[in-house]
Amino acid sequence: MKRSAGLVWGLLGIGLSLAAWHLIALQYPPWAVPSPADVARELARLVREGVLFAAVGVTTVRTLAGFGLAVLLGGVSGLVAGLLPPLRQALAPVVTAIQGVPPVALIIVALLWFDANSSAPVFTITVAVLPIIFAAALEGTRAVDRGLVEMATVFRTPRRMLVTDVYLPHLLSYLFPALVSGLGLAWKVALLAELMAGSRTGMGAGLGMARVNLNVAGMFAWIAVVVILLLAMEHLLLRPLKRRLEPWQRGREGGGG
Amino acid sequence: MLTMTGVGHDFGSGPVLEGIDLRLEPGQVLAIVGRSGCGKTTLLQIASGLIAPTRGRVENRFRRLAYVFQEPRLLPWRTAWQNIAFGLKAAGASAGEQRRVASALIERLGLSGAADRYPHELSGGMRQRVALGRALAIEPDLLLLDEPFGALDPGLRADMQRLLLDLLAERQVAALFVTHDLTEAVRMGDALIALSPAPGRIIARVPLGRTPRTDADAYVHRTVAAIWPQVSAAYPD
Repeated sequence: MKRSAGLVWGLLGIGLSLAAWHLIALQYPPWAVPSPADVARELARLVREGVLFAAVGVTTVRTLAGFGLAVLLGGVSGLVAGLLPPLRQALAPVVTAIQGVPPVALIIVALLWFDANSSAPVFTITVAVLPIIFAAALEGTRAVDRGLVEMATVFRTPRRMLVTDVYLPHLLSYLFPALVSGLGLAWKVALLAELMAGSRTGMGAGLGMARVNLNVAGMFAWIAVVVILLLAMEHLLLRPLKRRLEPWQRGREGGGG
Repeated sequence: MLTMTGVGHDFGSGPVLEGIDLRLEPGQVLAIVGRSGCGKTTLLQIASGLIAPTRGRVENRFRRLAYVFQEPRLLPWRTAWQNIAFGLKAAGASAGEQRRVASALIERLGLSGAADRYPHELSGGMRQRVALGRALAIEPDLLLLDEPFGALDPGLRADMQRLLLDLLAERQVAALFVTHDLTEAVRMGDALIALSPAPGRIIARVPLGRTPRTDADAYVHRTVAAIWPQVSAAYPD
């Protein structure tokens, strides 16, 4: 019941925003501020011409490749750093420094080192997302219940099982929020990298083309696609994955217990 | 057999235990009583090998030991039967073996129907039964219990004490049973050791009989009254 009420309010919020957008668009010429209907028409055109799905496919692959690498590298290094205090102290300032580098600067460097049409966006995404995952994995590992670790020690649990049965399940619940925000960042960086690199493929290329043609409705259409993709990824991929991996959290979520 | 000779421990801020000599025979239940903070838990941790004492010698000839903590310490992401099978899995038992042993224990511990539930779906008493099952699953010959029923309400506590006594007798398991409750110590122990307030020293060693099945409460109260002069120093004021 609570869930459906939330849905109603959410839809109302979206509806009101669209109405406000429409009203604002009425005040300006359509080439400056397109209305929601203009943007929808532009989206339909992109679909008809077959441009949209090809671009979405290319960018999705790049995003997931960079994100996947970041999760793998950041997760493993965060876990190991959480288990070994000296490594943690050595890595923490390095990761903080990396986190301080703006993604735009990363892209410029990546363009010198990598191929603008494939590896440069992937590299940029990996480096931008990695610190978020690393920090979450590190904190998650440190926050493991010492009582459980002591219990596992008394039962002479092998090191590997200690990781798979005690640390990883605990880590997963810590990692999830970081995965959601990391994925969001990955999309934004992917688009930025494609745009700045002048990639010939991908959604960033589409956005760049719309800019060159002064097609504001087209730019809005691409932005809408990014937002829709991001929401779809979170609700169709990450959340179902979480429910599947953490059956023990069911019924714990929300106020009950 | 477990023997401690002149065992003392200091975490770095003054002694916690001093001059502990004790001996636990196979199948014997030794209750250790004392006020909170007298080093009872430290004594168990030393017996388990979790910490090495700063003084004295520990010799453990038991084959396999298991530990029941004051809190259940179950893995929240594992079901009741998987938690019971934890020690078996750690020892490398096959999945079929884990399932078989866990099922038998679930039956014996009165947890039928709860096998596939997660810890947060179980009551406090059921969780502690699962923790007990996890300890018994590896078929220990020495069980270390650190106030295992301290968090349970009195009715439940009496049930669990009865169940544990039966299980220990059935399986011929020796046990160190730590508690601050003298009646519980008398009920559970074949013998009792009383520790002084910190730093813990042994101030009394009392042999006890097995608690009879009938009129157990009367026996316990009679015994507590009889031994009180010997152990009262463990409970100043």
